[in-house]
Amino acid sequence: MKKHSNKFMAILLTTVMLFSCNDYLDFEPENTLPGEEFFVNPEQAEQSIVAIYGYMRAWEMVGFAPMILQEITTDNTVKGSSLGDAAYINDFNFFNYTPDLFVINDYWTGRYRGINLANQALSNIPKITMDESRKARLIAEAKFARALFYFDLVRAFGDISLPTTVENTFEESLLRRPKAEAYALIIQDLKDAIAVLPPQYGPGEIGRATVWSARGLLAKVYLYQEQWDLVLEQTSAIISSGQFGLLEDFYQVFRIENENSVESIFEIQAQAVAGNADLSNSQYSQVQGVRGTNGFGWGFNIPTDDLANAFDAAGDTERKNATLLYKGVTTPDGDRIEGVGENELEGITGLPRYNGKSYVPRKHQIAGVTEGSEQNIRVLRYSEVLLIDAEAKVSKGDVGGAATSLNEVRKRASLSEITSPTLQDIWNERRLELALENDRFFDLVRTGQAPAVLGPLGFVAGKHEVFPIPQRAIDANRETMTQNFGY
Amino acid sequence: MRKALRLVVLLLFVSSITWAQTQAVTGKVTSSDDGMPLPGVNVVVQGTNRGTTTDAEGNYTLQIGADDKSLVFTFVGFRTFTTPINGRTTIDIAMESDITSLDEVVVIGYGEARKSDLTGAVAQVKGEDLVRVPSATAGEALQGRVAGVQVTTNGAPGSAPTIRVRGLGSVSSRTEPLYVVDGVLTDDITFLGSTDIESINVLKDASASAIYGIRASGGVVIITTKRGNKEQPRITYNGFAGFQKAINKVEMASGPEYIQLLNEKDAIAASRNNGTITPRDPANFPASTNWYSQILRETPLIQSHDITVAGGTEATQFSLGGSYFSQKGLASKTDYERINIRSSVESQVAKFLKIGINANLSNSNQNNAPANLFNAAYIAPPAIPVKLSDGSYASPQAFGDFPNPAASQEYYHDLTKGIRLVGGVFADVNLFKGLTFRTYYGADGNFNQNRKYIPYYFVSTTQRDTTRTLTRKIENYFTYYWDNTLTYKFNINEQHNFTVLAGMNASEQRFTMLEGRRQGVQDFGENTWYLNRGSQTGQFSDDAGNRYASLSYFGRLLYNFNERYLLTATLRRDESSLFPKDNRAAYFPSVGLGWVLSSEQFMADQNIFQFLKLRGSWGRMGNANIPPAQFIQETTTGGKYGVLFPGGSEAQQGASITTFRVSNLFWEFTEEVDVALEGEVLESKLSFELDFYRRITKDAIFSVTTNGALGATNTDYLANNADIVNKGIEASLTWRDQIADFKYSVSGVYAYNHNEVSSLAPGTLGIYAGNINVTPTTYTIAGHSIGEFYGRQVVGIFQNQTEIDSYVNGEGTKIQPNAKPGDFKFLDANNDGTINDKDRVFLGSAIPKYNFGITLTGGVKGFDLALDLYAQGGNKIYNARRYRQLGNENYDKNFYDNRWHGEGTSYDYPSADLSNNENKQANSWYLESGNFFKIRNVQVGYTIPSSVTSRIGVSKIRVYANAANPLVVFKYNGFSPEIPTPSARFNNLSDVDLNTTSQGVDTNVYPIAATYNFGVNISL
Repeated sequence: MKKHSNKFMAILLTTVMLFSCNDYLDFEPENTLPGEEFFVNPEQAEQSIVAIYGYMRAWEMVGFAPMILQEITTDNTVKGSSLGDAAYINDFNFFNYTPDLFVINDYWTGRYRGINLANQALSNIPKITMDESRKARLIAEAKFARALFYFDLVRAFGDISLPTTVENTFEESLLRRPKAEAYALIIQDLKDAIAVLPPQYGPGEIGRATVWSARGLLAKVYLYQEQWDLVLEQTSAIISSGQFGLLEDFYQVFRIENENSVESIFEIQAQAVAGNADLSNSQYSQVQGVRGTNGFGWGFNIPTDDLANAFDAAGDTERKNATLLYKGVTTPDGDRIEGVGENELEGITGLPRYNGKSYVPRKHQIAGVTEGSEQNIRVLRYSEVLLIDAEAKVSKGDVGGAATSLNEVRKRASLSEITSPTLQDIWNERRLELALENDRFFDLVRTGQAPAVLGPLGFVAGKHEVFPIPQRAIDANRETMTQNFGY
Repeated sequence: MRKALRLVVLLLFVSSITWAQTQAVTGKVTSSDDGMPLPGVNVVVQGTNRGTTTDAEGNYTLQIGADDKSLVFTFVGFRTFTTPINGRTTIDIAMESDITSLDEVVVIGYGEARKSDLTGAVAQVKGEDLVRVPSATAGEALQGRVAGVQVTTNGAPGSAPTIRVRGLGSVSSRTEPLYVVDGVLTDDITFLGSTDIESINVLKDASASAIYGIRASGGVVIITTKRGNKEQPRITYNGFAGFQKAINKVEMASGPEYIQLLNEKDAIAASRNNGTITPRDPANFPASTNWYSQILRETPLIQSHDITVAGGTEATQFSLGGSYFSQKGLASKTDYERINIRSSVESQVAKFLKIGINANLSNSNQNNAPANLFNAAYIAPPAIPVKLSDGSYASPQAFGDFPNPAASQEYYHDLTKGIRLVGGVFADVNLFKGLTFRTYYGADGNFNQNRKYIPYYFVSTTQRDTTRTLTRKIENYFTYYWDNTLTYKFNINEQHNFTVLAGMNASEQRFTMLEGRRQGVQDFGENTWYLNRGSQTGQFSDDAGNRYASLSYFGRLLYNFNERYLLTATLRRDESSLFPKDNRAAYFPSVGLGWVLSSEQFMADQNIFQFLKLRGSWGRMGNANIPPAQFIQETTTGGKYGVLFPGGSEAQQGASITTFRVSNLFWEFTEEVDVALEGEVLESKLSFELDFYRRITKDAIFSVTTNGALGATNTDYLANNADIVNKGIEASLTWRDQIADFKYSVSGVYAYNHNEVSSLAPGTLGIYAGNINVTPTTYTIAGHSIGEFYGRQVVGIFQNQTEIDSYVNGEGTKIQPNAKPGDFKFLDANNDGTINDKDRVFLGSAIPKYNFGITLTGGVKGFDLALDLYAQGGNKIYNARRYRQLGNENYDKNFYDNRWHGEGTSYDYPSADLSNNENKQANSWYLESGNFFKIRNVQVGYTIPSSVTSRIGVSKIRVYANAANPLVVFKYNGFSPEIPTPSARFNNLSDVDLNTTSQGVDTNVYPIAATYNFGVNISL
């Protein structure tokens, strides 16, 4: 018996020793790539920038949020879809929204997610050993993207949180910085980007931000600042580069065949790949697509008669036909627009009509993935650069110069020339040229037209120029995160 | 067997030599319950050491002397019986079972102990009490059986109920108890049927459960599956069959009622913007569909069969068995089926060595319903027919993007198959007297397959699938436990009794998942749903895995002085790979003291208390059950971040750091104090146990809502920053008696719990959760319970414009100037003249304050009756079905009947325009009482007299009829007041759902099923 006990004691002790001596618990976590092990090689630097472009087409970036905040709030469009479906969207049409509406949070959070991706790249890529010129370009692309996202935020919310590095993100996310600081950052980022970004890219990189993308965006930023000389510095560089022009047919500007065309200053790259739901996740076209039988979408963001009348008043049929797709018409791509019947889209009476700029012809629809997910989102087009140029020139008194730029845009639309344009002429042109491209709300606020144009819908001057800070952001730090006036 | 006989002969021989001047007494000991012989009963002459035990047939022979007065019969689980000899030579005894006796042996961690010697709170439920409730899993049957254990049943076939021991101690980690099945630690016992179980022991306080260290803080449930015994092998069959029926169904608005509600709603909505609408003409919508009757079965069947062969000899005991359980779900096309095979063998192979093995193999098939099916049926417009005249499914698209629930159900195929093996082997080595070394290797292997297939179908442009996608997923879990323990049992002077345990445990869990998906799989029947039949274009695969290991050392001292003063002390050191290397070890101590007052001299003369014990304990436990790698700022890759740039041949991979995490995350500590009094009075007919406890979770892992401006894709992250208190009272009372032939017992359990987040680390913000369409309904903050409802207080319904205009604050500011008649009138809590989120107030807790269960059993002349009642309450339910109104969702009939539709029509229900932004802010109107009472189970049985059954060679036949949930009483306007809370399951990464802060929000609850069944128990 004694013998046995000794033996077993020995076994037991050995066992215990084995476990305490071995590194039983020391192993790398499975299938997890710790962040500190990322951002070490050039390939990862590249991936971190691709991620930013990929994220640009996420739901918060191109789905409901921008459509609702930037178009449905205006005289251009109404909610659409069935009566009562997603009824909260009407709160935007009539300026009844409150800080807790999730669309506002989506808009806010979505853009900060993009900013985080840019900040990750900006804080980490400098530490990576790699080709210096490549490194500089990647950093410039991140800065362009950050400027793009902050430009949305500062226009939508005014004073905003302003994280600029991975390190200061936590602290800054709980504070609101003055609008001017945000604009200063945007301008600096774009200047930095302009110094480095290439004028164009080869196959496999087409669609990434070029120096012209940065210049175009900077021109628009200065437009909002009314810094006319600085606007013109950028617009003339773009115009005189000779790299850009207008496509002959306005309808064709928005077709998949003409993505990244000579008219494109910057557009968000989207694609449809069979079986790959993640790559084909842009819902930009789907949410606005024809609703009902033989349709290809949900039928939101329906153009108003007011917009149609504006085209008619200008005698503008080409852009009207390309912008408003009425039920019953057959598009140049051969699709007959069908779907729901008269009076079945909420907010309009009469014939259903849809956004023609987000329309993807049936021949490009791929079964099993998001409808129309291939459609690139046009962020900035050459025609807008011309209009920005014209507006700066009028503001500076150069009416002749302004007319040249303005009439290039009008000519393409087969409209007569305006020899001595006023600011209002240019603003009206902006509405027709850029309708349904998510410019209208910010433009009305910028130009001061908002109270007059949107007043009947419920716009209150002094309040509705900016949206409320999302309730969640306020809840995160009630002492420092103040609410915008009136909310 | 022969050995045993030899032993008995030897004993008899020895005793006959010693007491030559004696006389033999013989007899047979049987159980008064069923008349079966009881082997192994101790028969002792009172006041002496002389005695014997009964043999396999229950017979005994004992030599007694002339001075011997009485015999004492003792047997575990039976009431000790003393009888005077009075010169008799044959004494047959029927012993009464005594399952709540304080002498019962309960299973504690890594050992067993007499309940009377315990200093901790341990409750035992026997297998035979579990099987009464016809359910797929044993967990459900625990409802109302153990004070302090709250069970929320979940109607889906085969799904696990939510079980909580002593309240809710964690916000972000697992809150379910740890299950120990035959030594294997697991989070999931759905593989076990009630018939597989011998006993369940619930360790409720720290003194009992701290031995399980980091896994103990949710309480520990130790399950012992069926064991062999030393009797002749006996075959038993238990089976039942019956049907279920949905009860307490919510009546929905009919087609015409729905159209009327929509017209009322749209008119009010339009009037807010000074518009008008053209009302829908009811004549255009003649249909009136009850979607629930489309998706529910009328009387789905349920059945269960179990055969067990158990027996053994003095040296070797075994139990072998198999069971089959099948349940058709209330929802059409859902079902659950399980086959279990189990074996347990233990053998004393040498004097010093005992070895054993046990294994439970389970194989289950489960057909699942589409996600949110019940919610879909609730919101679906009734003014749409199920099918059109051409036989195709009708689309509700005229009212919005609703799916046709019947079509969703028809085209959805989702089958889960699981194989699970839980078992282990052990060797007990008796080193010298009292010292035993045990090594135990337990393994838990789980192999799950899931197949989802959706054939080609087209209902509408928003409800269609043209891709013929097949998805197959394989999940594989494997966990092993290796325990090595030394137990030394000794006493000093027969007064100081010691049981000392020291041990170690090493365990590792691994999980892998592989998923594949292809489109274009043509539908030629279920047998053709294989990935290779699909298209390679666009195929998709996914892979995941994790690994977790822990290493623990533990020790326990059980000491008692004359069974009067009791001490339990435990210490465990745990180290876990879940946490950062320099921060992953911790100690978990506990100490418990007990004082058996009834053994004291000063109590000797009283005869009120047959037993009285005061006990108290303190201890610390841990909870490390969070998803792994929560402290790692992960890199995200994947298609969403990829881009196919024009001119490129393939998409470029994107990757970056998209999450926000706290890197010094550590486990939670729970400290608990328990004070209790237990005893027996009135000749032991009444036994009671009363516990008071207070447990504090320190550094509780609190999920912090990610602030949007952080730009993280995780909506929340974890940090150790809260203290949570649970305090409560538990009482158990059992009365058992016999009046003539009528034996009966009444037992009740009651538990009261108070839950509160007692403090938050400075700078930590409360959690808004329970989001419905991103609007939070709960707020978790210091001073309130976890997930307390939070929103506006409704003080009335505006009847007319005058009321709206006259609703002003002290300064005359109109409080709700934009309201319309029929809207909610909200309390201006901060009196600032406007209603906004600053007016939110706490509206009640989702956590039930109390629950109680009552069990009555009785029997006379072969008939027996058992009645189980259960009630709980003190909580609120958020009726999120009504609250989800975004547009044209359907309403329930109760709303239709009571709604405001003109001045004076309702003072407590609003108008149909619930989807208005103001009306759908979280508010008190959507909160309803969660109180309910139910007849959990009622059973009537009859045992055929053995005189009849013995003629056909059967020792026992009992038949019974049973009804489960025949009556559930509640006021809540929903299908069931039991709202299951999905909990964070470490084992199931694909299903991590950290939402104890979102409990009690009813969005998609399975209807309640009443079950009626007949059963039979046969023993050969």
